[in-house]
Amino acid sequence: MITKRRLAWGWLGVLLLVDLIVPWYVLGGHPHFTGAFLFWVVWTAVAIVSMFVLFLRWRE
Amino acid sequence: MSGAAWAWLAIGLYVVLGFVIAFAARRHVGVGMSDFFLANRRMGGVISALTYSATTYSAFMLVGLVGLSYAGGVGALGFEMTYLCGLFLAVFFLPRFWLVGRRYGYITPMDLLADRYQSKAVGAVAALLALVFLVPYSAAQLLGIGLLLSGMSGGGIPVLAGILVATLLAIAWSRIAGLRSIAWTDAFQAVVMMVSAVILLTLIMSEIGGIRMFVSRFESELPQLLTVPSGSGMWSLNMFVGLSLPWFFFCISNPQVSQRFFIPESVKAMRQMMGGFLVFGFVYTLIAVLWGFGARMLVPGLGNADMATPTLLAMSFVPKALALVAMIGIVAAAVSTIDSILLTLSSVWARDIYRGVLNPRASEARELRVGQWVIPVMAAIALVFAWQASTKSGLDFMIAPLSAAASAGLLMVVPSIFGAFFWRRATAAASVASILSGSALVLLLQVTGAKPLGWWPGVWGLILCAVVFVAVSLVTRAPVEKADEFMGYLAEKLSSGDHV
Repeated sequence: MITKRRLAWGWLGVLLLVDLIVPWYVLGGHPHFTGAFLFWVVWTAVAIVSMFVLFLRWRE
Repeated sequence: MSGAAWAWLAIGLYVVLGFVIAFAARRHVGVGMSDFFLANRRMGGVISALTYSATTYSAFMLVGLVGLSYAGGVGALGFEMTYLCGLFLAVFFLPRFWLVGRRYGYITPMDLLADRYQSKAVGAVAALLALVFLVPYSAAQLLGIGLLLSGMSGGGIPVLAGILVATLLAIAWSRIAGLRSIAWTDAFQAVVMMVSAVILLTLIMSEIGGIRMFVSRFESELPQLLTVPSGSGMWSLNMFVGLSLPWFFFCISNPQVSQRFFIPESVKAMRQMMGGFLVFGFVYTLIAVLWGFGARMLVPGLGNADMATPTLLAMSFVPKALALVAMIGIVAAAVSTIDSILLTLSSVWARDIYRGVLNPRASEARELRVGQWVIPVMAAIALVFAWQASTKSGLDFMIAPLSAAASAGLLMVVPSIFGAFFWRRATAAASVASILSGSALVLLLQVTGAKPLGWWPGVWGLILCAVVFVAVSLVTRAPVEKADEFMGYLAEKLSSGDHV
């Protein structure tokens, strides 16, 4: 069974891959705020929500 | 009144408020290293979040990042957001640092490494790494304040005066009550930073004609800044990785930040620290990048992109009072970073070098005294670096490469930190060898300006450092007894607290 920790590391890896691939290889020809700018705002929001999901579970 | 007189008045108000807060914090001071350097590990969540934010975000944000956005466009947003998302690492490391910090009484991250690897040499080498790379970084912050104040006062405030004021503030706010005075003044400064940034962004957008007009004009006039690489060729993938990689690991590689992992009073305070910083960082980053975009529209054609913020603040649509508030916000960002670095370096010197190597039998009281006296010494060294750079003689040739190398150099401690928490087989010899070989390579590449295959020094340094760390660990003896006890304790506590 995959542990939660491995899932979290895997998800971080996916986020980083997307961070590098999408702006350069998918949105490179889209010079609008709906391109790389919006991507990074949404990408960060997704990453932050992921972190909240993980750390809000912490207990004493 | 002249520009210089107004600037001095604003600085005076800021200094008085800061001192009132710092002396208020002094009433809670106790005794011992843990109390002075970690506020006795009893910091509330809100103050922890604000001090973490103010320490992390330096003058770089509203000067350097604004300049990067001005010159290179949206890649600057990606770089800084990637750095913010590096806090994902804190999801793994914050509870681990916090738990072992309480159990074993660690004061510094190097203290943790020395104990985990059962080697004072590991702590001392990691401490030297921090000293080598963080002093020039502090000097760059001091110089930034000097140049900003001088620029905004039309030369009425000499650069050296600005550097001196910042240095004295950093010393005073570190010495008055240690981490308590720093954390409380940081909280005040974080509020100043955020409020001033929001107000000025509102003014910029209003001057352009509102958000819709800004978006529409920017897309039609400067479309080349909305893609990566930008039209000017900036933000190639190599550049992005080269800049982002060291900063992605910032929260564990920079001791003035990772030392904050020891201070929350409870798990609830840890959660608040994480959440508060993430929200602060997200908003502050967006503001800095939009400042840069706005500056590009309002003051195009600047030869030096780092002048975007001072030029904006000098424009006629910015009321004098708001320009002064913004100036204080930037000074606050720099001072809050410098004083935290000074405090951390003094604790590192006292714990990991003085007691760890030079005088292992020193009492805690003596260790604390050494740490407190090191604060002005470190500040004086940073001041000399900054001053020499400002006069463009002596050490100025070293400042730029060393400052740029700082984040990449500190990255070399990352494999040792991962090994300490996740690899039972990791060894002290591997830690020392990896830190020394990686940082030597980074310095060499930085000084020579070489970028083999187009990749930046931090990338090559980390590759070498990681390879050396694994290879040497496999052929040397690991402190398995300590590793089992350390990791076993964490495994038990982490599973019961629902951590990953």
